[in-house]
Amino acid sequence: MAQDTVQKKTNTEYFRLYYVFPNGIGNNVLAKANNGVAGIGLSVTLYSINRLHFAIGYEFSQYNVTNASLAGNIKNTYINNFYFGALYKIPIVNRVDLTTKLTVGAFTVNQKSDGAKYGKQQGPAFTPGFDVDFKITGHLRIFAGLDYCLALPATHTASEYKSFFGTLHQLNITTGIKF
Amino acid sequence: MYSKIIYYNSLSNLLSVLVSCLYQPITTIMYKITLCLLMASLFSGCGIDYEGSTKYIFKGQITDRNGQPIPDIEVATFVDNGHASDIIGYDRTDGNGNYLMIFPKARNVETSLYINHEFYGSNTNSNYSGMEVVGIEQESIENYTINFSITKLFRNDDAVNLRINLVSISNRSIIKIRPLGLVQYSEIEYDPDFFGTVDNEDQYFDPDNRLYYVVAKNQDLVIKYVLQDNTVHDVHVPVGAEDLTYNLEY
Repeated sequence: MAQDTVQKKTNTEYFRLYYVFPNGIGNNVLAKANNGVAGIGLSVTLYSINRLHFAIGYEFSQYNVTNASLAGNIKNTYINNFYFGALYKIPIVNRVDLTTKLTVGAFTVNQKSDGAKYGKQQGPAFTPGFDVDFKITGHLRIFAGLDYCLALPATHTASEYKSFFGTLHQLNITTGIKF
Repeated sequence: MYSKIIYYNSLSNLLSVLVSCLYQPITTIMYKITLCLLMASLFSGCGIDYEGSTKYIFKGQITDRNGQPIPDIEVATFVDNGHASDIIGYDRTDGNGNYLMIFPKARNVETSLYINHEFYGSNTNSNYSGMEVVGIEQESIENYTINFSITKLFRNDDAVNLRINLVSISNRSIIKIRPLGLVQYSEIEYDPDFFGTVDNEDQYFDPDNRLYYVVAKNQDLVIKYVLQDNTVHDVHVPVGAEDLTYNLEY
């Protein structure tokens, strides 16, 4: 019984704080007209059963507009994603775990130049991903991972550009701490 | 990003007033803070209101008067709501003279297209003429797109000076006049039917009754004008290879 409790505590992670290297991929406005700058994310476990965790989180990323022709004469694009997700931890070797995850989020694209705002697009986002963590001490772990994010923000435009603005793909590298 | 014409930065004003308040009596402080917040709210309401989920597409091609594409010509979309203005679309023509600007919809604005036309921070090609397409109404944007098709510019070394003397032969005065053709820094209505619509900016007051233009050589220029009874007229002016003075009787 005591061993089960130790095992549960070892498997459980409560909080994650991480840095995001945002990166648009594919044929869409993030990939073709923006460059990823940086991002930050955090998530909190709501409930866990053995290795399965249910969490909520928030992720924020900044891009610089590199092609004014396609993205408008605007300085920055910002991504916000409030998400709920399931994570499953798989022990690999001593101190090292693999965590797979799938999140569903409320995704918002904002564009801004200094003080000026250029409206927003909102829609759902689906993010499968994984990370590998290394136990430093006690519950403290460091991790690095890869997330693929498919976002479908509402877009009203000519049919040939609907997918370009309304189907966004990101492949983000994440690294941070969890405990 | 290319320079904006105007944008309001009320935050810096707010901070500067708040700092100065540190050295003021309390009543003055309250007054200034109230004034400051009022100003901030006023200015924040003066910005342009964009709809980020709606993307407009402006595209077209720039050629010389012989139909040859001109690369690297600056094209911009200018929006103005009377309080603030912005260059929201921007591109330079590619090797085939094509341009494409996709930008979020701006609500309640007047929209113009600048082609090799100067604005703050612009980088125009001084070898070619520039022009502005005005009066682009949102209602005329079909399927979120306007294809401006082909716009012709002319080389500035292929130009002559045109002087128009306005000669009154009636009791009516001219309230709007525009030469249409290959004209340096010309303003063209996107919808020609709107030419007869005159606003305050179009009011023509020239005490000398003379107008000066730089126009391309060897063309048949049309001078369109509106009289004070709102009747629209036009005359054809043949331009040759030399500077020209034309007497326009109205």
